[in-house]
Amino acid sequence: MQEERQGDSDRTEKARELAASLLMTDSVQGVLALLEIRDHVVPHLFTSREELSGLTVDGHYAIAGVAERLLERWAQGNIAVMARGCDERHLIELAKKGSVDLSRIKVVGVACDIFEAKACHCVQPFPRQADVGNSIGRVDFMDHEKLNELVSMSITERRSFWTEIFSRCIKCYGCRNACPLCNCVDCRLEEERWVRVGEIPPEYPSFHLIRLFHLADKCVGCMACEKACPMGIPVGRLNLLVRQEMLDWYGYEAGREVEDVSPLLGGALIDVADKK
Amino acid sequence: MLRGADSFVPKVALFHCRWCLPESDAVKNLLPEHYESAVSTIKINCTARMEGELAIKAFGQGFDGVLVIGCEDGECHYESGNRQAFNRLGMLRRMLEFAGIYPERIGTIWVSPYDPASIKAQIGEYIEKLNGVGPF
Repeated sequence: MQEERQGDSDRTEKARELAASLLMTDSVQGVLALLEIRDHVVPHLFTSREELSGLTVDGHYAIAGVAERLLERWAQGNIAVMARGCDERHLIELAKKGSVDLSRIKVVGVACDIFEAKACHCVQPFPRQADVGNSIGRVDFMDHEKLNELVSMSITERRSFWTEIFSRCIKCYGCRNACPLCNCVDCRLEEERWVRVGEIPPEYPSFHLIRLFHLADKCVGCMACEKACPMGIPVGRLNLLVRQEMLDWYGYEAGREVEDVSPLLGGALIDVADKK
Repeated sequence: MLRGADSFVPKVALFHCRWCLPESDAVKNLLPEHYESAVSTIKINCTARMEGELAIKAFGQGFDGVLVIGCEDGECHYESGNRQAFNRLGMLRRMLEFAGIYPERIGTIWVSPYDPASIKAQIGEYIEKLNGVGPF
């Protein structure tokens, strides 16, 4: 435990140093990172070196959506973003959608430590280039037990499992709001045509499956949706299974390269059922 | 007549591409006997129009199955619209499976408009499968 703390303060120190030098060069209008407030963190755009004493790399917040909105607000200018591996993958997916211009973003890569990776059930807890912290490389902290439990059920058992669990949903939109990739201006989940307005729990299966389907080729597996759910619905589990399918059948992984084209937008015909 | 054990007649939302099957009435003629009222036909511009939510919402509205009929590979009016639909609906099937919904509920048929007998046979096969999995 002592060792872990030591590592964290080193990382924070390094992050503040890098942020300070970026702010000195004037190449960016600010550094988007996490600000520590008492016992939690919030995303914050650091614009002066005096503020940097509050900058932290501990704590978790899917920050890419904030970067998107900041760039939207200014017609020009660049920002730096302290990004973990998942944040960077979010930015790549947002660039694919045309939502952010990556040339305006200087990514300062933050590598997660083993404790953080475990907590997130991560498999890729590092950005392309780790400027802060040391990459622990590819790992497999995926919660296979929980995923297998789901996969090994019969289809009718799964149906009752999800029906029961989804009935807890209070339709707070936390899963959608926490996800940087759920950034459509008009969201189907708010339209009467697709999901009846004012109904709790939301109708089955529209709400959850539409969300899942829309993220099928975008989800980078950060689990922000699941962490955001106040009712403890394991929504991320479905996303992870679908993400794995995309990799198995199409060799496609969201968040890898901006140039990658989703197989759900065309390309070679691959019959998922054939390969089963 | 194709029927399940307890004379269950599945309700089907049938989406068909306007380029291979321009007339919904003609599609109705390809249905098995007595299925005219159980099947709602919806003409779409291309199967690429089939977003997942169209199928998902259909289940929420009391349909037991969703059948999509489009042009065979290489014949898409928009070159690759049917390929998009092919992969997308395939993934949707897997997704439904994870969520506990029989993937057989989503049917896809890629057809040549010059072979109505084959289309009819394939619709029959799909409905038979749907009978097997029962009401939604």
